[in-house]
Amino acid sequence: MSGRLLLFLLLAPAAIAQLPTARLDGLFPQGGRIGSEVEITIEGSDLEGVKELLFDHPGLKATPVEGTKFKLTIAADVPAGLHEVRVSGRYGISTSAVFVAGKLLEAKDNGANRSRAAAMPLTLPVTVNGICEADAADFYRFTATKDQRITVDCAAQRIDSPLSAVLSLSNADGQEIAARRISMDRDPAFDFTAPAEGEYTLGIHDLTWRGGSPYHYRLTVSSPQESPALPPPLPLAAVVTPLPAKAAAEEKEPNDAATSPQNLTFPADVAGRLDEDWFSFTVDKARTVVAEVHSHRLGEDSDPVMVVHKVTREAKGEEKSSQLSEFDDTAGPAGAERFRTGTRDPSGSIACEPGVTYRIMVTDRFYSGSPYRLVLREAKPDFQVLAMPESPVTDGKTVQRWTSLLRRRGSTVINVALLRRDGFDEPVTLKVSGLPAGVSAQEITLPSTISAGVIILQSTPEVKPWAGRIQITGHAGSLTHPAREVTPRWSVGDTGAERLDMRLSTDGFVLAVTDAEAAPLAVEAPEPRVYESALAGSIELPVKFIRDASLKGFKGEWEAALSGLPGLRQRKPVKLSADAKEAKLVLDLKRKDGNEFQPGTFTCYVTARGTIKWKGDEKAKEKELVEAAWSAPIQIKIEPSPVALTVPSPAVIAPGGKAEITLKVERRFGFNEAVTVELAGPKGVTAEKLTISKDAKEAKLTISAAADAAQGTQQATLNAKCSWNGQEIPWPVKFNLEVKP
Amino acid sequence: MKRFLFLTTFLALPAAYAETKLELHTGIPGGKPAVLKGKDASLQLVATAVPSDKAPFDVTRSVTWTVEPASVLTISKTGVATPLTDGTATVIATSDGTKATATINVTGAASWRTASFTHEIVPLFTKYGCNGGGCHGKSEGQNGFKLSLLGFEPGEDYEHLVFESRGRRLFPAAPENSLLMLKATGEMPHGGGARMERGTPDYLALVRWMEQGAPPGNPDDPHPVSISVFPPERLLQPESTQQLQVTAQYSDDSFRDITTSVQYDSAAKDMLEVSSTGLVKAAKLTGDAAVMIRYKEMAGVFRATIPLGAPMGEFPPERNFIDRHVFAKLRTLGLPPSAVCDDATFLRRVTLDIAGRVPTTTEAESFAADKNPDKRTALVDRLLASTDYAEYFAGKWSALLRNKRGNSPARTTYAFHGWLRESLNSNKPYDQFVREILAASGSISGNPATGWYRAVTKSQDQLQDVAQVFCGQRLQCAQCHHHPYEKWSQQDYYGFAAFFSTVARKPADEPGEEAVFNQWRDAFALNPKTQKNVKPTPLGGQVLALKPQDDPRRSLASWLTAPENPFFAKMLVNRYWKHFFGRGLVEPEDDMRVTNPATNPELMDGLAHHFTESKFNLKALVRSICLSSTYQLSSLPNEHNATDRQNFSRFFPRRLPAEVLLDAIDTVTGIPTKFAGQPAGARAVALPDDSFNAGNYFLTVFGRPDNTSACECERSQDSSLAQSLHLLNSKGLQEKLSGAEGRAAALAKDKAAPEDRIRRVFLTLNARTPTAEETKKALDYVTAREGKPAAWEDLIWALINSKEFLFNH
Repeated sequence: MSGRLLLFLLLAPAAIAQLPTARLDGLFPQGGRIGSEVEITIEGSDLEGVKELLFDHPGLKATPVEGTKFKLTIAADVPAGLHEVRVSGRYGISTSAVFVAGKLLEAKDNGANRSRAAAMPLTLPVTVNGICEADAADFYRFTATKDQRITVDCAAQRIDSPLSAVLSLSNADGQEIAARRISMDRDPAFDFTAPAEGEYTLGIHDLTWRGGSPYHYRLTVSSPQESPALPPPLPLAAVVTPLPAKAAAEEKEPNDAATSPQNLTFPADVAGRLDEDWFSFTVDKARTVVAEVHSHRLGEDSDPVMVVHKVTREAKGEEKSSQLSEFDDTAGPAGAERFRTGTRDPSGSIACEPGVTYRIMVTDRFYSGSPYRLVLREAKPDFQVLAMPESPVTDGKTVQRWTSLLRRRGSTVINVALLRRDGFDEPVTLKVSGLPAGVSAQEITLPSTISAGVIILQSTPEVKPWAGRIQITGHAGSLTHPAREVTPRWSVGDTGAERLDMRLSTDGFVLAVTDAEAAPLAVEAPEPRVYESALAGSIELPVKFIRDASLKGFKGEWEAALSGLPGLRQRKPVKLSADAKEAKLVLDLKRKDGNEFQPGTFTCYVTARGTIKWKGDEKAKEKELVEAAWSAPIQIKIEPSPVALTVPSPAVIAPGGKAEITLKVERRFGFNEAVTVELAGPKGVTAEKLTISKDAKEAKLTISAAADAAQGTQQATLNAKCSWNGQEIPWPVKFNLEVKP
Repeated sequence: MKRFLFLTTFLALPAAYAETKLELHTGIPGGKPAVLKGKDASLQLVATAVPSDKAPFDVTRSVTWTVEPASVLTISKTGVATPLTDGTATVIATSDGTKATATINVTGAASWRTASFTHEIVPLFTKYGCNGGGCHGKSEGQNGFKLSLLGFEPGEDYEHLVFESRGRRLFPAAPENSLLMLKATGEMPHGGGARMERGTPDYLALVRWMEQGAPPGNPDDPHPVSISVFPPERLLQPESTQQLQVTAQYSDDSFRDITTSVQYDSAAKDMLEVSSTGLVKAAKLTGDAAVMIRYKEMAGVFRATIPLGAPMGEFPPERNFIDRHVFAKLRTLGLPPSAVCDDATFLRRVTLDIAGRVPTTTEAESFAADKNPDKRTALVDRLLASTDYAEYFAGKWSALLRNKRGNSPARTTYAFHGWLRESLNSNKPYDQFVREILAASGSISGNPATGWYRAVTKSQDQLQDVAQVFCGQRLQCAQCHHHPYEKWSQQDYYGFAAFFSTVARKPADEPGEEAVFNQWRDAFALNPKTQKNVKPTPLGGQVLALKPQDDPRRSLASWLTAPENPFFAKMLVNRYWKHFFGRGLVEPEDDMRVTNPATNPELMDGLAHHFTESKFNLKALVRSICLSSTYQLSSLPNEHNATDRQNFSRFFPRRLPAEVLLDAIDTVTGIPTKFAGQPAGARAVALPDDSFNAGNYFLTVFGRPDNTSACECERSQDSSLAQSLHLLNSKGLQEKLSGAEGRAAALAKDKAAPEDRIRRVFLTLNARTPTAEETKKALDYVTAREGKPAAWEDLIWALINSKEFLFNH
């Protein structure tokens, strides 16, 4: 498909300043009947010049009609269910939207059905495509015979609509006989049997009466057999740990007491309903068993918790049960919270001994009675990579549906979340491939303790137009996994107030490159090397800025800041003058302002951000737009202290004797202060606290061993401490100590 | 009037009839002899005449008292026995040849008993108001002398009285000259004035206690465990008297007369007066009244009914148990009810009360034309089945359960309101409704019933709200000290608080929301007084044995909603009764204490029984109330019941609540109010939370609550000048009257005969057709201005500003 995209972009008319990026938020109608032809309207931003709709199935073909209208043919062989579509236009290849291929007759909200009296008539079975308007409800009416069983299913969040739909069914007297207004995590649906022959009215609106173009719905009124089987809008946490559709076993009651557990054969996958359920299992050999509950991540409003007991036999044969652990919520990777991979489902590892009985109690803190699956499996440390293109306006609150578009000398970022499974703690290197000439992305390595990062794509000034798919892969030892693209179901202006919901895109990462315009701003990273200091020290990073002279310029001040370093919580942007060409950014490694740096080697980058004045074309009104640029990654190494203490290892001492150890002191990064050391262990070996004066390059530590000190080689620790830049820095120095006569 | 005088005279002298029995009450159950122990003992006897065909009445002061042998004890004219020598005597009360006797044993008559500081001296401080909240019982005390509030901390009182200020308050060598006594008698300047006189029994009791060395008492001393009042209730003729007797049962199963030691308070001083010796005097006013009796942490009550004795005439039909209890009470009172109201009045009344709206013109016309004799029943059923009922009552519960927006996202309050509405629409049983709220876990999105925990975040507020909303018990006082009017102690308070001690929260899926859950740990609350942890304990119940994983709230919900719970059903029926009658059987409706009895206890019990038996069916309760003749009585008084507010002898008109009135005005003017973020035509009664008040002066000025408290009293039903002015000439009302799309404009354009249009105006506004006089006046007015909308605007304006429109009557 990339060839087709490339062709399109090459043929695209020369564009004016292309700061916008194509964003497809939805289609209307957002579905159609298989084997039919339907006129659809595309909705979103910066969709100028869109002539082509790119579906994930060749049986879905659209031809332009006029403006944003297209004629869509849905071939008979198109599978029913959700499909993805992107559009390609002047401003790149859009984010993907969802389109549903349905089996029933389809109808469209007639727009005049805003009261019960004006309810739009429906002939069942039918799927109605509608849009909820603000402060209004849509009404539909249909007739049913007595005892006719009817299902009503409202797809909204499943089709990337932020609508929190409320459904209400009334009889001919206007009495409400069924309502679903409480489902906000999931789309509402209900199943009712008509109590009498007559006309029924169905109302639909948003819980808080929001509305407008993104508030789409597909309302299916049918018999249970004809109901659409769209998958629920599962959280990412479920998508990344998929389960077989059917569990291998069912929960068997009574298993609600420790004394009557249900026996499972390892490995196990059992389905049940949350009350208080007990299970027991044994393993044939020593194994690390992973126990997982899946419920909240399956879209249930549950909060499962899991308690593990080990059952042993006393000498007299009496059973003794002791609690090993309690597993509760599972957090997503730190720093990648917006991927929403955390879940209230518990999971944990159990080091199991052969022949020992283990019991697991599963219950729900919310008493929801929801379905769940308990999975017991062998630990298999591994990882997955999720990635999400990020818009320049993204800050702590805003998340936009976004796609990667590079202009000349441009930059764009893709956020990455690393999902480490079963204790996997290897460093993971992320590489980008499939890039066209003139586009680069440095590989980055996420250390063992880090699971969030960014990939920065940069283009040269000479880059040529291109469109296609790129690949992001994670590598750790022999393991290699492609990254999967994550898309927000809808854009969110304030994540503190609106729910951010994510799904996977199945058709891979797209990148568009255009030479029609240069990016208004570029940041040049300092000379590539490892920049070093210690905790409480600082690193100076000289960066350069390049601006596009053709733009009218930045409005007032703009700013640059360091980002991406783990532990850097308080970004301190440097304000830049409008014509600044370079700046020195200082990375202050003190633990203050919420910053909590850790020793290690990491990657960071420089972001420049400002408001620019921009006109779409000469006739257009001038707009103010936020624009940002990213530098290439910068390697940062943080030492635990500005002092390197070397201890002879092993140091040797006789029981009941004394020994003098010579410590070598190397001061770095301009540090020249006193250092104190204290010996901690092993048992029976002691030393007076020693202060190493400033300037000293060597010091002698006298240690004493008690007569009964344990003989042999053991690990000892020297707890060193110094003060630098007003901050106390403690660090341990480990060495071997041999006690022998 | 003559007939009335005759009746009262007749009732006052029934002892002349041979069938009247005389009863003598000693306060000792089981017919055992009473005991006078110690030189200072006394016993108030109560003699009662019991006619076979009339209510019993007090004759303590009119009987002749004799004692055999007379050497053992003496008895005063007021029926108080005091010891002379040890022995057993028979007390005989004689009246018109009828006799009643009682046996009394006298022991230890030669010596004074050692008074218990805790059980006999401290109650005197309560009786004389020394330890009240306005005097030395204040938290900071009064002029340097502090007593515990109402004597609930006798240990502290003893310290302050005996030892503080180097013991200057007591002078055991000459107790009469103690600072305590000189202040109490006013012989030394005392801010509280003279509280007692020298030589009175209470004065002497204090003096004797000091003479005995002011003993602190022994913790093992028998202590009072309950008090009983005789008689608990009586029918009192106007201006008659009743001697009360109050007895305490002690932990050693002994009984002691405490009639002169307790504190009496009349709840309606214009009806009943009570002396410090327990003599109750009825005034001329008729009705129900109560005397509250307090002794240490215990309380009792005497309820009196003072009948009017008017001729009864014919009563409306007795449709159900409600009428049976109400009419029985009215017959006892001699208070004839008004007649049943007409159809139009009933239609409007019940539509307003059940659906929170005025009837439509069509409803008014068709109800008037309906010849079905059961049309009132059909109407009530139709209204209860309508979504309007659910919307209206969801608003009521939304306020009580504090569905306040605050800084929360709109979806939280909308979801909780939606859940309330659905629960009411589907007629969820009330016990289930409460259980779902009280034991709610999860997020609002998944379980909207957690909305109450969203609004009420502190465990202190949670326990107080639950006690008040669902039990009618106001526990707030017991947080810091023993409840002054109830039996609840701090131990009870923190035992109840412990039910909420494990409520924990975690972030929910939706931003800005928290999910509620039970944290697994031992549930307890710290009693700050004892510094000991208290485990979950239901009110008046036993400590519950819970495991760390048990959710105490579920246990609380089980206890609360059990059919045998003494508070649950009564609280709800009283709340709903007030909704339909404007006054609870207990007032305030959520302050149900022993000392605040129902005006008709039999009705209260009957309603609670009916509600429990119906498996807490709210619609069935509303149906029973609305189908009773009592509810359907006219608001027009007869010559006897104009002042009756508590016996429901007529319907008492009340101003429409803010939202209902606004909706009514919207309906009759044809111009709906637009609420931000709500669909066009949304009713004010259906608004999901309080956030609409700020932008709507009408709702504010007419007192829509802000959902900040668990008390319905937050809704202001007062009338004010601002309200009148708003209705008379506010811009908002004028715009509704003169709106181009409004009713007045339509009426002006209407080609129908003016009489017909006038008839429809009256049907729309008052659910009735106009009288001939009304038609003529209106016709004169509008025909003089034919074709001008202003004529119709004026007519509607005038009717809106009439009491008939503004009140439910």
